[in-house]
Amino acid sequence: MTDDFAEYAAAYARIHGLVELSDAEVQRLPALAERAIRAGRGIPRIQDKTVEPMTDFKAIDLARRVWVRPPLADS
Amino acid sequence: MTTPLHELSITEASTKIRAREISPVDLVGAFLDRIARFDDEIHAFLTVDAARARAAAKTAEEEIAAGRWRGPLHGIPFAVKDNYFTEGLRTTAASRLMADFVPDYSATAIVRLQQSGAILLGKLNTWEYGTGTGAVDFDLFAPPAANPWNQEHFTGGSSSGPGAAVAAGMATFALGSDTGGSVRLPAAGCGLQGIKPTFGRISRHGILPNCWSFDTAGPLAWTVEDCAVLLGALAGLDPLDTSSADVAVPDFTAELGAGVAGLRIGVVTNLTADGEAVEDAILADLDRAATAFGRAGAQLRAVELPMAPAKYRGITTTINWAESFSIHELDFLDRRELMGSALRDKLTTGFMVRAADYLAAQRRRRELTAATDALFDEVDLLLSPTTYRTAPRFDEPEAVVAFTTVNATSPYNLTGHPAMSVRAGLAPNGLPTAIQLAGRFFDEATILRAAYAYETELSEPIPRPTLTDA
Repeated sequence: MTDDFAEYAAAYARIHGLVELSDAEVQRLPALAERAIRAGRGIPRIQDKTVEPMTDFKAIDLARRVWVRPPLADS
Repeated sequence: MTTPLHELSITEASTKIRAREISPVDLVGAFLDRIARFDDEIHAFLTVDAARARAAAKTAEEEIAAGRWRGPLHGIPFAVKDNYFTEGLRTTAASRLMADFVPDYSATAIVRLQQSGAILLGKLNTWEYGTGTGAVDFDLFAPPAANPWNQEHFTGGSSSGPGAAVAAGMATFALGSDTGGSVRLPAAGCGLQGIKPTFGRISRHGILPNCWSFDTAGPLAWTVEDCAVLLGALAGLDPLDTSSADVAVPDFTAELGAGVAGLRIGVVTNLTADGEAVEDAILADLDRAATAFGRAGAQLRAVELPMAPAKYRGITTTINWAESFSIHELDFLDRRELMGSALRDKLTTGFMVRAADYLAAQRRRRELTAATDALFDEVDLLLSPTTYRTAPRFDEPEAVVAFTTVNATSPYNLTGHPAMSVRAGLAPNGLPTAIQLAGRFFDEATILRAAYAYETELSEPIPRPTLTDA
């Protein structure tokens, strides 16, 4: 599995101009790529399309502004 | 027996200063002597500002003598994590990228403390930019801070210098910053009291960011009362910080002595997931604390968080990786060779976080915040351990990472609720253990009240660590 991430990470780094990696970084790149992708995919997805990301970051608003709309019919 | 100057709490020192039994000049001198004597071993400080500290102490002495006492922080020496901007004083964030940076303004938190008369001794060690992977790789321009309880052990991070400095008696109190536990973890590792207030409670203006969504400033001190005094001085709306909350600031010391009778305390039961474990000594001290609260009249009940803390961390890490990468992108692409390996590895991970995953994390965060907040309909406080192990040895790298990544701190970074690490005991290995108390948004007063009861009435006092000359 790590070989897949090695290929992915190398291509990603090349596309984004991150080409001068040290040998140590090249060694670590697949594991770091795997960590990023697996962690992201491990976040449970929310079917309700009305639930917005928390982007206001105002703690005073956190409790009172949680969305309470019912799910959309087609979600 | 007379308490040495470096072991006086804020309230003890302040009482003596106001009564003119001791002078701020003597107090500052005592701390500078401690720093000179022991910091070659502890590495708590990156920069010491002795000349200005002595000058400020002289000014404080003259003001107090003239009857212009400003309050309980007047003449009290402190130090700050080196990610706080300090006007005219080098601010490095422990990074070679900023080795010679001198800001031309101070963070709002520093300004507020100095307006209250507190005296800045210097800047404290940290992980690079207050972030990383949890690893301590000994590849920054200064060695990592050592734990005053046992210098072969880690302090906890990322506010490693604040934890070490206060425990070692090199400052009466310190400021840190908490993104995933970085005030509470070194507080727990070094046997201190440390509070992460509600997100938005203390201005972040002038603090180098790690992750905008979670960064929260907070104090570390030896006593709960000192944390209450400090929170009162630090809290409040700051127009310079867009995340700052416009919420009234109470006198956090007013209800400290009210006890815990009648408080509903939820004891968190789903602490671990996926093979994680909590050390026996820490579970024993948690049980002891719960029993003590119950005997003192608190109503205890078992409570499950909506998910185990590890699952919260699964969400906070994706957000944190992505935001840190956004903050450091240009340096990462152009000057990566100046970074230590922990920061470089974190940013390399952040480099590959997908936008959809970041947004999924922020959406899930909104749901989890609501679900966690709903627990406070049933209880006033949530009780858990802070860490799942005592501070590990530096030569146990996996344990060092686990100290940071397997614990109970991140749920309250995700949600923004206030949470405090409270010294609980000493494990058989001689290192401190800690409990964590979390409360409702902006209800730090109830946390402090329970913590104060635990510290002063419901637990055995713990002596400070003893340092000896090398």
